[in-house]
Amino acid sequence: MPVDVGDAAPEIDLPDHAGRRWRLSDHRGRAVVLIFHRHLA
Amino acid sequence: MRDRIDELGGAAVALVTFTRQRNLRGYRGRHRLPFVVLADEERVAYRAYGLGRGPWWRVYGLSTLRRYGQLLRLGRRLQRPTEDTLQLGGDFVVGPDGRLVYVFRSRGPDDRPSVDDLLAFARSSGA
Repeated sequence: MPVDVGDAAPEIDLPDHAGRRWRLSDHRGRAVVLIFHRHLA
Repeated sequence: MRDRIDELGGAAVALVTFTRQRNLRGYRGRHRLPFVVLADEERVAYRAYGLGRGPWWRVYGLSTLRRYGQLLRLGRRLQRPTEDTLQLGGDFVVGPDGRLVYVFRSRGPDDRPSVDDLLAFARSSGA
């Protein structure tokens, strides 16, 4: 079952545009809007 | 979202793509994005958030063709896709406690929530 409202958000640990590591868990304490793009083209 | 970043009330925004990380710096600058852009080349996060590929008949349906027609009339040139055009997107708001307060999985290219909805959920979650 895919995650839904109320579930713990899966961790995200990915490189950003500058090559730095970005982790969702580093942003605990504030809301985070995640926009998953289709493709850049 | 880019033009309404001040309305987020302290919430963070991350744009997740599955393009190669080396393509992101130019993309972010070209589109003047004030938020972080992440590279999920292996689509690990896409899968974790339940975002799969859509059927070709929905991705290239009438609304998509109509949109391409509009772009052509505006003088835009369509380019040969270099990425998986069937990958679907989505929008999520994670509350300060790490739990999801909003989930939207797109069913097609034009199926996205309004920026107003995203902002409202981000603000109401206690950003």
